[in-house]
Amino acid sequence: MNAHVLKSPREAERVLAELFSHGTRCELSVREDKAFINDGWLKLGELTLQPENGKDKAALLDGVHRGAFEWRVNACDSVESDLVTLLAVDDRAKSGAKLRRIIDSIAAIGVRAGLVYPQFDPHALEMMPFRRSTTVVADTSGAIQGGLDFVARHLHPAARIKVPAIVQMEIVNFADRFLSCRRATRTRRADLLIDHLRSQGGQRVLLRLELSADTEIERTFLLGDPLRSAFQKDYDPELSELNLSVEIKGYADRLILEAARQHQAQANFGHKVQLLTSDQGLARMALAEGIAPLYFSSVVGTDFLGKSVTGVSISPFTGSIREISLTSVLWEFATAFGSVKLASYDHEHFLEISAFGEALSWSPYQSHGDLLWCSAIAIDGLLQANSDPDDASGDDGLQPEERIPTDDAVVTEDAAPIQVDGASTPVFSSSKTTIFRPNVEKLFLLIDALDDRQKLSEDEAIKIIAAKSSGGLDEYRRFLTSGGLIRIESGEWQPEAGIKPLSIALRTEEPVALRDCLLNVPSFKMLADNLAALPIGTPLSLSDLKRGLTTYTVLAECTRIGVMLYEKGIFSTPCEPSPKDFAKLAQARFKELDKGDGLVATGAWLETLVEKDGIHPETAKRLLNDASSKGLLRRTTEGSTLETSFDKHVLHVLRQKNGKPEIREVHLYRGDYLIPDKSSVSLRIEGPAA
Amino acid sequence: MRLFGETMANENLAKLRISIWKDYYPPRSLMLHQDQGKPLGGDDNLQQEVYSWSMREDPFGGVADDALRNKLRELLITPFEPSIPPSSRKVSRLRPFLDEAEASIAGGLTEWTISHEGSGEDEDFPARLNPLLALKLQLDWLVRCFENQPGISVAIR
Repeated sequence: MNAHVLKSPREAERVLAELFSHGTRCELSVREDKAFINDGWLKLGELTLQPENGKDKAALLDGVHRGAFEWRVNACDSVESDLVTLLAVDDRAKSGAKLRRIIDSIAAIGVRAGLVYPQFDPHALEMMPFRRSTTVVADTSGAIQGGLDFVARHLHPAARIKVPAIVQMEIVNFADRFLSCRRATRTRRADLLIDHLRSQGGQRVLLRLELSADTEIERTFLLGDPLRSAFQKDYDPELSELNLSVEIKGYADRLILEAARQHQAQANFGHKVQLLTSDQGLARMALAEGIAPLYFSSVVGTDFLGKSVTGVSISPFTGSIREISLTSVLWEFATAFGSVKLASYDHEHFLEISAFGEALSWSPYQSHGDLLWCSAIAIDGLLQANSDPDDASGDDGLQPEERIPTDDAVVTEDAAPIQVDGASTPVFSSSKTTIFRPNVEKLFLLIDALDDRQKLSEDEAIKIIAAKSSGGLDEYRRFLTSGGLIRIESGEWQPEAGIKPLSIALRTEEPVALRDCLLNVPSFKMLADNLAALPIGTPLSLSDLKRGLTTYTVLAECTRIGVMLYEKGIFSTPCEPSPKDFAKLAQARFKELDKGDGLVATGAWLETLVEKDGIHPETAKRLLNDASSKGLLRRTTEGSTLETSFDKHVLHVLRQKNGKPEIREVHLYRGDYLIPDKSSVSLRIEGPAA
Repeated sequence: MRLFGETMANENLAKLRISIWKDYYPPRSLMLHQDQGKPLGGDDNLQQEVYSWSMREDPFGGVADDALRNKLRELLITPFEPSIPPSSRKVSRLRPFLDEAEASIAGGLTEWTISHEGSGEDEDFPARLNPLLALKLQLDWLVRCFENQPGISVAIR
């Protein structure tokens, strides 16, 4: 996967056109990175582009822009089954209500995108399109379930839209709950997904109408001081007698109705005010108080799932053609879930669009430009499209400040193994290069502190590495100085330019960037060059490394250029096959190790991939998940008891802890590494289901 | 309010016109007369149009198979001819057409065609659509909205 790049919908159309040039049929999937286990994706069906002239690029671009697509959305049952797996639901019956809410929320995205319409009350529909100016006051359900978008698209300009402040507050409340749920130690997956869908989807509606659509949105003031009572219990005895503090939600509804009533009182005679809602209670209350409800039924899964939908439809009132760009649909799903992915039918080409995720930044300019993070596999033009002079949008795609650890398997330019022309010796020769032996974790902490503080006194450096005296600093100072990463001025350590990218690589746990930065250090460069020159399966001679064996082993493993196998030596690990090739390789190595009981030790399988195929365990772990989620293989794990008899078979990986780099020791045989939150002492790998 | 039979200004452009009607009960009694003064009937058979929609595309233009096209046309037009009593033109009678259309779309039996509406705007890439799919989505929506309301009938021409 390429690095993530910010793209506006218009810019992304070019990348989508490139994707469709490999085949006009694609699979659409979505992901909530915390809620779904094993980096899984929820499949939402097949999407087929219908361009004017087959594979002509201009026609593909036109097709993407003008919504010339048909999408066969997966049915409710299929989506529910997938959700049960992805959310690791143990008791399907018990979680039935939550699963239904998730499915209904997915359908609401389709309504918001304009692919299907809300089911309006017949009496309300009779009045459409409005023949005279009408004010529509929306409640939260109206915003989240697509009613507000329908009004903006089809009833504007006769409809003037008012969004009471309490709606914003409710959606902000959802967002707060979503973020709290995300940060929680124990993830309640279904709740997290529901909150994500509602909060981010709701915020997008309000932002989209505010910033993009030519719809005028009015806001109401808060009407007195009721907000405190709306969001926290009020213990005033007079209020408690009225039982108002219990009916908190009802009180928020009351505020919305009051906004409509207040507007009606101020409007000219004959000006109609309607309350847009799918809440039956609010609609009844409005009716009883002389406000006409613009009521639509709550959106349910079958309104959208299991249907064929298209980006080119006919206006529900005028009969003219309406075109919905494919990017506007993808943007809606990416925002609601966090990420959306379009994959070519051969699973070789991918475009991923993300709105939310670990290390993905956000700033207001992104909302102004409707920019989301895009990354791609095997699609040309992700970066080039930004500088295309023909691009009407004029927005430049921007590289993220932090690189994102990628999950998809591909040999990218960045990830290409180091090649050293003419190098032929597998012997690590340090005859002219000094070997150091700093503790790698402390070295990384020093680098992090140098970037943070921009200078370190000797005492501060001693404190960071917990040394007893300044003598303990020598190895660190010499290692960093040899790579031109620091200079010493008046006893203080000052960072050079190389420290910043190095610390970013540490913070983002990006092994390739980390390797590139460390190549400035001659001893590390020599290690990397020698490993790159090694044939796969040949261990590196360690004779000259003895003094710094631990340091350079850890560095090699963290940067994924090599792995130390217990009692065998360091092996080069430059390979990153495609998921398809990896699936074949994984099965072949499993069969080699299987002694007939259909299970092999996970550690043995990982070590074989290192030794015979040059694949780093971190890479193997990611590719296994990837191949499994794409259905290229089936994996089963067993063993709930930690296997500790092979504890000398370890791997060092770079992680973050409390915002600081950490070197974590992974025991390959223990069974707590391969699949997070799942015991995997033993492993079975089979081909894809027939 | 428009009474049944009233013409639309753009009716000539429409390939298909769908009207939703409901029983109309005037607040005061009405009497309709022919020229000779003979009454046509009471108020109990009046209908009020509550929604109308015209499609300027040929809804079956993307259906290549003649037999399927005829079948779809039959299912859509015949049960809803205005000459049929309103009580026999219930919204639910659209279901057989919708099911057949869904099966045809899912089976890949429909194609995209150039729109009559936007064909002159961009010579290289005229507006295109799958007319049967667009119609099906529109009718799906109308069925969902009106199906349960009593006294509703559909007329399609």
